[in-house]
Amino acid sequence: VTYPEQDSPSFRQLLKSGLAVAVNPGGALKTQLQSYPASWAMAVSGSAFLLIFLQSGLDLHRTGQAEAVQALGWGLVGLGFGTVGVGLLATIAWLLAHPFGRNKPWGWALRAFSLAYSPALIYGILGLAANLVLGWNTAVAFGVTGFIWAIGPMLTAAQEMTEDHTGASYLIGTTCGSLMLVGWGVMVS
Amino acid sequence: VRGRLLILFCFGALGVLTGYSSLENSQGLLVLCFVTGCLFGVGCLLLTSLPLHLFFRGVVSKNGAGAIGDCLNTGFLALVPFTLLAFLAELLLNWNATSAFASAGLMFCGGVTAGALAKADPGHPQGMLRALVPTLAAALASFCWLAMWAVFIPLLGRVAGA
Repeated sequence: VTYPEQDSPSFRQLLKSGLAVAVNPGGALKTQLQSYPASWAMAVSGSAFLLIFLQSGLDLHRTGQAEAVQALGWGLVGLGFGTVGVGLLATIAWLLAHPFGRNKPWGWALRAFSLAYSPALIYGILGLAANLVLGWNTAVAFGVTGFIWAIGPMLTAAQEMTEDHTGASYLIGTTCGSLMLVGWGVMVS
Repeated sequence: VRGRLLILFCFGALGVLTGYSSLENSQGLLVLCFVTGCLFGVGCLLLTSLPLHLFFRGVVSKNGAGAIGDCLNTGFLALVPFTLLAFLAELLLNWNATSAFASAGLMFCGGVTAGALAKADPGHPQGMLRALVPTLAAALASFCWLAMWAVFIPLLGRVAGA
């Protein structure tokens, strides 16, 4: 799906393209990313981490370790982590990929890394529903699963940025995944 | 050969990590987990290659008998980052999430294998069914991995307790 004659693609098209990254990252990153608005892409990762961190706050609130306002504060921290943190991650990946391939601009890396968290957004929504409806402690279970399913699209994005240099792309993907894993692990623990 | 050995090492390492939290004090049993993981890897690669030989005959006729194996190697090398991140999660963060890493890793390997097969035979129209074969095989492998450890770890636990 490309948007040659439309300045602003419809919400349905944006949703479809965002979900395509979760289902078929290789195809989606090659064909659908060029015209995807960066703000929408960052909204995906921002919302994903907002929901996951909000669940951390709700889990703590349920066990009496945090007030309701603090739980909402956790959500805001997640929003920052999913926008500023993922933006920083995309910048690191773009810089590391630079010696191997220079065909992708920084904006492309930002959109690709942000949309890589569309599986995390799906798990974030499911986790919040389970948290509120069933009263489960969901932050770690759903958050970790969502994070893990973002690794694949991140590796695919790194492969595109390094022009199919497998070793470099796996190194970049592992580095970025480790930074995200440790950053998030330290914050929620 | 080095690529194949690295893939099998990843399967073995994921086996060790799966058993690590349950069988922490028994090094002998962790070695058994490593061997079991490696054997699963051998079986997984062999069984996955069977439907690929059937559905991707063009790849073999164009690139030779070892082409499917090469595509599988390319695909399953994607297990390396998942294994490294699983190590980090298990040993540094104490998350018991190796099964999720292995499961997601195997599914991703299926997708990469499909991409490698499409590249090896670019002239052939890539039908939906053909494109799905490696992914479905990887999904089945992922399910078998989870089921195998769900049975194997309690058995090893009993051996350790005896």
